[in-house]
Amino acid sequence: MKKYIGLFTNGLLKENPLLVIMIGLCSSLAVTTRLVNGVGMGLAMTFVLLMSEIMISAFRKMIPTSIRIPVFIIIIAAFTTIVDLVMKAYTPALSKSMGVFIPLIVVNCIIMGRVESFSYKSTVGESIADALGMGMGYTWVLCAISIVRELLGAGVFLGMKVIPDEYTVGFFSQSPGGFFVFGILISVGFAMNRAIERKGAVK
Amino acid sequence: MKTMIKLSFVMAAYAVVACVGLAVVYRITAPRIEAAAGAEVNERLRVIFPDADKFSEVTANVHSGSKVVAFNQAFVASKGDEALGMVIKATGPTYKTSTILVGVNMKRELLPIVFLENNDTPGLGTKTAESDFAGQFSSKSLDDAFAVGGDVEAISGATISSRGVADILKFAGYAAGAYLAEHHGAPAGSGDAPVAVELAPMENDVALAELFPGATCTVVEGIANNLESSVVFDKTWIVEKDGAVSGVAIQARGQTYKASTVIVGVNRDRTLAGLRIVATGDTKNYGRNMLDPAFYGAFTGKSVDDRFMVKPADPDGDVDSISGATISTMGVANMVKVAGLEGAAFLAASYGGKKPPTAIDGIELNSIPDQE
Repeated sequence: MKKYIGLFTNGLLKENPLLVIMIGLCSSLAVTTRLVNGVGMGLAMTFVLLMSEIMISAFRKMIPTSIRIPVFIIIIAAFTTIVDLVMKAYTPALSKSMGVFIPLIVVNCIIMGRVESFSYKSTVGESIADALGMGMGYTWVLCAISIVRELLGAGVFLGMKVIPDEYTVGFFSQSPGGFFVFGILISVGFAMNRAIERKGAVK
Repeated sequence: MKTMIKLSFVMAAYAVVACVGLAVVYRITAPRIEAAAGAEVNERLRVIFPDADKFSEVTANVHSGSKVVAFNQAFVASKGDEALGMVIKATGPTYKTSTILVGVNMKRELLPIVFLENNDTPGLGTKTAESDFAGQFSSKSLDDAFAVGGDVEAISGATISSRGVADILKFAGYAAGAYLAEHHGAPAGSGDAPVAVELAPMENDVALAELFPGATCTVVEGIANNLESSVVFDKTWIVEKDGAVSGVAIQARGQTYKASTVIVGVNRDRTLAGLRIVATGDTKNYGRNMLDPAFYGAFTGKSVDDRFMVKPADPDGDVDSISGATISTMGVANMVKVAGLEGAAFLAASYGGKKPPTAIDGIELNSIPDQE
């Protein structure tokens, strides 16, 4: 059990895909102008990651090494399309505001990276823990970026208008603002990781 | 070989399973996706016609007839048996493109417009969808001019987007008004239907046929450019009509903002038969507007001995600059001047064309500033 918790928390901070491994950044910077987009993208991505890791770890002995990448792509693409269709059907507004970034989950490096480096060599249980950890790690960072950007850029916090339009900073709604907030978050992540390490060393 | 076949089968097996899975999900979600899209359009239509109880789609009966503005869908709104008006979903060029629901009532007035898509620059062109700008079109009569700077107030910093939206509204609104007049007894409009022009370069033969209708153009050698080395004559034609030489046409290439190729038609009486653009590499929305007939058409009938200086760089100039594209305009004006003078000189020397009023001794061209 401890092993699974370790794998899960690994993705949250220590090996956070965005803050530490720094992969899959484009979509995360593009959609995080609103919190609801951040949550939607995070959950969609977590679902695809989870299902792909489960499938690939379950069938890993039946995927020949030489064609593993194309097979991974087939599996990831299938789940991405499923998410895309389901979102279009049940949350059309959200699907519209995320636009092309849902189909682009197919080429998200986080998924490709995790299935290749982790679930192809691990059991289903470990893969589930890893996928949930990585997915949640991705989701919370997206939420953090989008809360800051939505608050400063559009003056909206958790769906409430708190800053009048005259005082918002449009910069944060646009891509440079995304980089800016993300950069600060990376340094916060590093600081937290270091603090945790020190605590471990003292013990 | 054996492994190759085996691997292919493995791949195929995974692909088949994935496709079956997708087909199942698609079957479940497809009706809902379609319903969601329909509900969205309906909801938007209800914003425009809150009183209507029925929207009947008439898309098949309304055609834009234009390559520039497309009509994606059209609906007639009615309450009981009485038609209230019409909505056309139109997509056209703004700075990039916009898709707008254009509603028209039975009095030939626009109703509040609804943007479905706006791909212009965020914070500038997208302001066309905001109420400050979009609101000014409510209850606007379709017979108004829709001229930006006139009866339409532009967004500062987004004139092109503003003009694009005004043009789409005028064009789609007019079509809706005409349809209502024809089928539902609304009053008919006055004036000509607006034309959505496609800004595209012309082929040589189309340009020549427009400049010299009914004439035959034969490629001719001997029109040389001795005036200005930066303008190149690619091809020259002699124009004959009713058995007599009426003029020449010169295809000239030179610097505009990037580079452009134009055809200049010169008559025997030292006037321009006109100007046509056959190629340009200039910037979309700016220099590329030289493709607008309103610009190149203004050269028709001018004398080749005019100055062809561009306003406002030259305060006494006689050529109006394309808005935001002085350099492009200067380049075109220079080509017209050089080709015009050389063409007229050739006609004077070989075919008894009118002679210049005074001997030409060096010419004054627009000086194109260095870029970047």
